[in-house]
Amino acid sequence: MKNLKFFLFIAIIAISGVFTSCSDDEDSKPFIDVKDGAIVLQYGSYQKQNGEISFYSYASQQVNNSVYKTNTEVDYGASIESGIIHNNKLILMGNEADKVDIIDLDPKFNITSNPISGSDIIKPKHCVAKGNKLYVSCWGSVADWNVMANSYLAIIDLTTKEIKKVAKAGGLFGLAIQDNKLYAASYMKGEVYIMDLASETFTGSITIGSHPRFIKVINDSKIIVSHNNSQDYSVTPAKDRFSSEKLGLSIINTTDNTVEKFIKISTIGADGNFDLSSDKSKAYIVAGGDWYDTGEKDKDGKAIWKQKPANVSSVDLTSGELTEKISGGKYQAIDFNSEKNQFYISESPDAKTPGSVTIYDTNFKEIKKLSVGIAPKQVLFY
Amino acid sequence: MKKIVIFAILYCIVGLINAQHYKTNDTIRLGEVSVNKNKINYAIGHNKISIDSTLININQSNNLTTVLSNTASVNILQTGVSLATLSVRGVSSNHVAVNFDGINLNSLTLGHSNISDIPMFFFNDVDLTMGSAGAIYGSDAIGGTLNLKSTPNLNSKSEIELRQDFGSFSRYFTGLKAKTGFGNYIFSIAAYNKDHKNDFEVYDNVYDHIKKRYPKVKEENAAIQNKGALLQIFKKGTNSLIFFKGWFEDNFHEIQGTENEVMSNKRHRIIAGYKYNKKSFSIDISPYYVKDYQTYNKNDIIATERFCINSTIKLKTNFGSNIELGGNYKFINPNVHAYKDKKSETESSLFILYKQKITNNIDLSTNFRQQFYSEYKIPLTPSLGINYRVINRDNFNLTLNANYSKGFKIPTLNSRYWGNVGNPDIKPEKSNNYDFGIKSQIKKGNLTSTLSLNAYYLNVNNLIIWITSPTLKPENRDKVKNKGIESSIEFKYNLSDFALIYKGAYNYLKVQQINNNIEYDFIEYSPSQSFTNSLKVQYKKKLYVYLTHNYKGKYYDDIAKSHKLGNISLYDINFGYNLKLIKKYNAKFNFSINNITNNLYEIKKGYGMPGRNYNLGITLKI
Repeated sequence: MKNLKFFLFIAIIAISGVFTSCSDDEDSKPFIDVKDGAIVLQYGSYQKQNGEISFYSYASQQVNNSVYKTNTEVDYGASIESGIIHNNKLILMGNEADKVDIIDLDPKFNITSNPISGSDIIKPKHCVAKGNKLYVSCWGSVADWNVMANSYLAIIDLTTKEIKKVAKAGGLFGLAIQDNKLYAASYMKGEVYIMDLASETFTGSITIGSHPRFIKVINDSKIIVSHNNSQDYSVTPAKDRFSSEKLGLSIINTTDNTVEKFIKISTIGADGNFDLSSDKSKAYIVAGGDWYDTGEKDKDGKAIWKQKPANVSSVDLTSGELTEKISGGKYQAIDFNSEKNQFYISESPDAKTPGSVTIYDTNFKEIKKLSVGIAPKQVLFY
Repeated sequence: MKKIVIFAILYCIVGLINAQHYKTNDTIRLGEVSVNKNKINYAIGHNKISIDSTLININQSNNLTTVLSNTASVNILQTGVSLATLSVRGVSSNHVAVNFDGINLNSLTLGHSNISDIPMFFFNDVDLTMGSAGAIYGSDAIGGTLNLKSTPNLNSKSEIELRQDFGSFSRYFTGLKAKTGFGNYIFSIAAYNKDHKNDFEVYDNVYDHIKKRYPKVKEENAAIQNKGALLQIFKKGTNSLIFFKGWFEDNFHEIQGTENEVMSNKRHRIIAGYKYNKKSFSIDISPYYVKDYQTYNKNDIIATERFCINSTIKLKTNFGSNIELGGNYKFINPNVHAYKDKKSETESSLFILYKQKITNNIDLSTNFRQQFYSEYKIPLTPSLGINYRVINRDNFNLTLNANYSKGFKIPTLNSRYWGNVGNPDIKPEKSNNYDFGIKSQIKKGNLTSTLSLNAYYLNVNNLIIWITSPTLKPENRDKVKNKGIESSIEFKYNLSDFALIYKGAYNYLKVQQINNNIEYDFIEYSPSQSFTNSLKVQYKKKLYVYLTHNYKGKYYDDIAKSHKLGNISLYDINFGYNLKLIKKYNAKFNFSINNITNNLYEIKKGYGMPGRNYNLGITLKI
């Protein structure tokens, strides 16, 4: 009897040990939460679908890279073209894999639904959201890159995930919502299209020329659009290929849909990336640097022009005055953190080397430099 | 009668292949070729790898990618099933010259060759000279030089060969070879048509977070339709040979990984030549014309035409020396949609190749090439090599070899002129290469064993990489210092009517890459280790079984080590049976099972490769 009790006791201990050791211990898996800090979206290497996310915590002042893979145990599997935070969700445009990812951030980073993909999401570029609707600019299948005839706006119901496609040729790119209107930059047509959100139809357009890229809202009657590299190859010499006369920022009065002001910025970088100050009186742009005559001649006797290093400049939206703030880096994008009153400037040395994000105060004094992944493109704050 | 029929077939096929309509340009474009015919004699001390003839024979309906994938010293980078480039010794595909009869096939715009568009049906020999050989082959020969050879028997015997293949994923191949002769004239043609739907299963890129797996989907945009013809005409004289070769390709493929993008390539390579041979000297004169016409999505044109004339004088002395003096002139004029500053360019070169027999056991070679380019100052590229036969008996021989050579690469047209990112100030890449090798063969009874071991050191400066600053553009940023070992072993055993042949090769690569002043010990897409094995069992000349295994070690796809790839093992098996039919008719049957273990692998992330697949080939020969 004693032996039986003893063996029973051992058996109970052993069985308990088995179940305990087999339990799925979630706490031991690495996890990076992304609250109270800066979320850095990285495009990754060209055509390698290795986009990723880094997170900088305000509290610890430390940066964690490979957030997506750490938290999901799988690769992101696409290049992150852009993203937004809407209703405590991180929404990512997955280029090359043609998908839209919706990631919960509250209570923590979590994926509870599959990405939105399939034949209705082809080459997603940018998005904006209002209420329960997500508006995504998509290039569609491209037969002729100079025309981009199959681009469209995908309107996604965030509850049902149903997609409505509204065709609009011209390579839709940057988007902005002001009141009940959506403004979409048509990269190849040189226009900004206007959509009425109630009817979900395009009702008009504003011709602004060159290649409109990004749009931001200044106030309830003005938006601002960047024009970047025109890729007008018929222009020679090469230094003028950027069609400097047409590069810069356009301020549009949305009450009468006219271009109120064009600020020429001949050095605006290929991405046309910019952000606005908190009072919207200034824009901050990533620029490619002025071209200058070196004074030397080539073997055909022609003047040799070179371009100054890239810089970040401020633009007074009233006077149009351009002031260089920093220069010499491989700047890609600038994002203003209104909560901390700081600028986060992304840099990328090349298409295969990890990049960085540098934090500056409003006087452009460097605060901290963060090492992140390949090709950082955008910083969001949450 | 048979000869007339064959000649009529030749005429029709050439007409059909060439009846392709494409947009012509109103400006004469001229061409570019490198002289390399039979230069291999002067590449003393280099590690030369001859591709297994069994591999070439069983892959007649395949492309060069399939053959080279089973060669350990060659690293194939496949972007899906329709695009493949090769690299060696850790340098890129832009640093391997791919030559056919003196023509460097590498694209002038991209700098490399898509070897998936090179059909094995036209070639009966392929060899690879490892290391820099700028003196012998000109630009591009930094990592190595691949030579494709197609030389029919120059007798007037008529032959016809028909081949038909059926394979998995809707694969069809039809090929015809014919040869005949009239008096001193020999005519030969090879033509093929290949259609491959490639609707194989791959893992989707989009992870299913609910089912916690990558779902399998069918490839929908990976079809290939290729056709081509190689026409060769020879006229034999007492001491002379006049020849004409025309190689025409019409290649179309859907771009795997995209929704519906397509690419088509039309390529014309036309060579004529006159050779005059006497006992102590010979003269070669060859003009070439090459046209590459590519359209992307039926709109964007990338085209180049090149014309070149090569001339060589070869001298042979009574004191064991061979000298080759030569030169060439090229005119290049591109037509590319993204080049707005179009420029024509000229290139010429003078070279001296010298080989000396020092003793019966020692050969020495020294070669020099000076290339002249309208846009650049090219350095003199010398090379020095030695072969020493330490032991030279019937049943045992041992040879040591060493070589030093320089190489260079003229920047591609894209890196100089593409849109607004082309950099006209970009410098040529330069290399220094050292090789040390040992080769040995032992024969004992029915067993022959061959061992080859070669160590090398290769450094390349001014390596061109594409950077973002803020726009994508090329710059001279990198340098690499690579060293490694290339080894192979072969056992041949004959037993009565059976022959057993085992071949193994192992490749080790150690990289030192300096990118943006940071040092890395790896280079993307290049594994540090790879090996191949093959075993062939042959019964008389009737029946064989051929098993191959190739392994590619792990590698990363970028400097940040975003994806760990590689660690891929693939097994193929091929059965062959030769059947003698009535009179002079012979039939050959090949059945292969490729990727026996059904490994759904990716060479490049996001580009799935086919799993297990089958192919049956039937060849009828008269």
